Amino acid sequence: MRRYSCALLLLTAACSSSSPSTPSIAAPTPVSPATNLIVKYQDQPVTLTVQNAVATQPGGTTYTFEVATDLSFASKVQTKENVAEGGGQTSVRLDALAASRDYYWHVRAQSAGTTGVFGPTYKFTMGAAIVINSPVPIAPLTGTQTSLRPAFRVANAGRTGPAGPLTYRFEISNAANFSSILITGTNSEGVNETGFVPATNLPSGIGLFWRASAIDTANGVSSTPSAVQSFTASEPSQAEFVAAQIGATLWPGTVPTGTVGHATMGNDIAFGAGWAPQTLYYGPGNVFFKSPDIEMLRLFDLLDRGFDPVSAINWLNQNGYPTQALWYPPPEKAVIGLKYVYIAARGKQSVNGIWDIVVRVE
Amino acid sequence: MKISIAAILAWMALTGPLYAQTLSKGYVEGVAQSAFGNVTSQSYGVELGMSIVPSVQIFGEVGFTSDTAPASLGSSAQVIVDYLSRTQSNVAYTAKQPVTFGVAGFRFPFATTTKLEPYVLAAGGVAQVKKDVTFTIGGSDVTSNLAQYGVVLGTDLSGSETKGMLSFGAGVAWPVWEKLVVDFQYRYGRVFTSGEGLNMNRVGVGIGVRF
Repeated sequence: MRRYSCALLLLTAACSSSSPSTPSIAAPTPVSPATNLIVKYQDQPVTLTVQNAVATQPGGTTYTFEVATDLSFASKVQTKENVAEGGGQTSVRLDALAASRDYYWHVRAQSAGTTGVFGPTYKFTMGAAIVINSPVPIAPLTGTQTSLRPAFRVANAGRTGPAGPLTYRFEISNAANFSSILITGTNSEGVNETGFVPATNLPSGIGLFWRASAIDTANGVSSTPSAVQSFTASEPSQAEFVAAQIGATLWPGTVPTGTVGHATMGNDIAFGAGWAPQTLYYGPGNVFFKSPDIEMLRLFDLLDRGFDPVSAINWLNQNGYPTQALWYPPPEKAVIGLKYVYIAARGKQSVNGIWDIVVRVE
Repeated sequence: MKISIAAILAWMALTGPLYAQTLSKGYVEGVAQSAFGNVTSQSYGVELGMSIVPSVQIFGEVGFTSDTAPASLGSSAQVIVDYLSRTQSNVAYTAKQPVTFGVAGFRFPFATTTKLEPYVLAAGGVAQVKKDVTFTIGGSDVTSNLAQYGVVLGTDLSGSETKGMLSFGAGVAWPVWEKLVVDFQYRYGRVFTSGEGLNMNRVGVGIGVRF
């Protein structure tokens, strides 16, 4: 009987190993993005959210998210597995998705040995990508010497996709890596080009750097910064100062090289009319004219930069500033003849000389 | 728990009753019982015993209990019903847990001065426990189509499992006429199902013959 008892015990023990039952699971329900939603490309990363699955045993539920480009999920583009359950809802952040495509997604839950079925399939459409190219600097370009408040100008940035209105952010720094920004300015996009003029003076005589970025604020897209340009700001030259008084830009296009300091405006009434803006009278033609005009100021500025008179006239004609000026060299004269005036080198000293405005009489 | 049950079983198997007596060679009887626990149901079976020594019988029993569903079976099914009701109307369920079992063990009758023959018994065996849960939507059984509603049933609501079972009991055999005997009995069964296990309490009567 002892043998029978032992056999009975062994039989029962052999059949008594126990493991927990597996839970029943009802599929999670997609919450967001809502089906058929159009998602802006730049709003990525997309976060998928589901209402948690229903399980008959709480805890330990994980989720599998699948994203495909076809409704049958034959072309899956992303699968996120073993996503831990959240409180009430469970979310997963997707990697970047390609633009201009439809995407289908569904989710299933698994828990303690039971793998659920995928829930309803939702679709969203990824919008077109917005790409904004870097703006191209126009001025001041690298190596330029500028006034203390130069106009920073860029060609408008090229773009693809449904971009919104662009604004441009200009940054001026005394460091090539822009670790410290001296001035930042923004301006809405202009026609073909966009510019910015600082409201305060730049530091004079030190190396400065600037760059610009185009920004689509509505869509939150920015270009990469433009190529960095280096320049030096300085006090306005004599010609720049007078040009500002008459409301003209001394060098709207190509800027001559050289540094000023090689000529002086003659303002002694004994030698000429002076360089202060005024109206003069040209007797032979019975003409009143404004003096100085921009042509006179450009000639003087070139002399101030160390050009000799002939080189100055040639430079103007060769760089988009046509002039009829003629140089009458010493020993007879040492003047630059214009329509109504001469720009005369006092004492016929044309190098580092004093230049007077003398109204022509012939 | 297992160890203590095994110890009791062994003790009962190796020790004899206090009083010597004269018993039949064996018996066979059919039993009808009421099984009670979380739910009350019916249980049926057949028991066959043989005397191996004057005070000890070996016996075997096979039986069927129509429903031993624990409260967790219904509550789990209700969870699924609640989910289905989000999108479907008129969702319902039925949940039963029938058990088919077979055990063998030792029965220890006690001699008395009357015709009544009390006894205790202990046995071990196996039981098949089935999760018989059905879900209906609009009156139609959708249990086999639940996947299309997003539901996968786990082993807590579907399938069956065969596990070890221990049975202990006591009763009084009453020879009513010649070899005809009526057996008033109580049985406690423990089935080692997944998770919390299953307790079965049965009270009933057996009618059989001795030979």
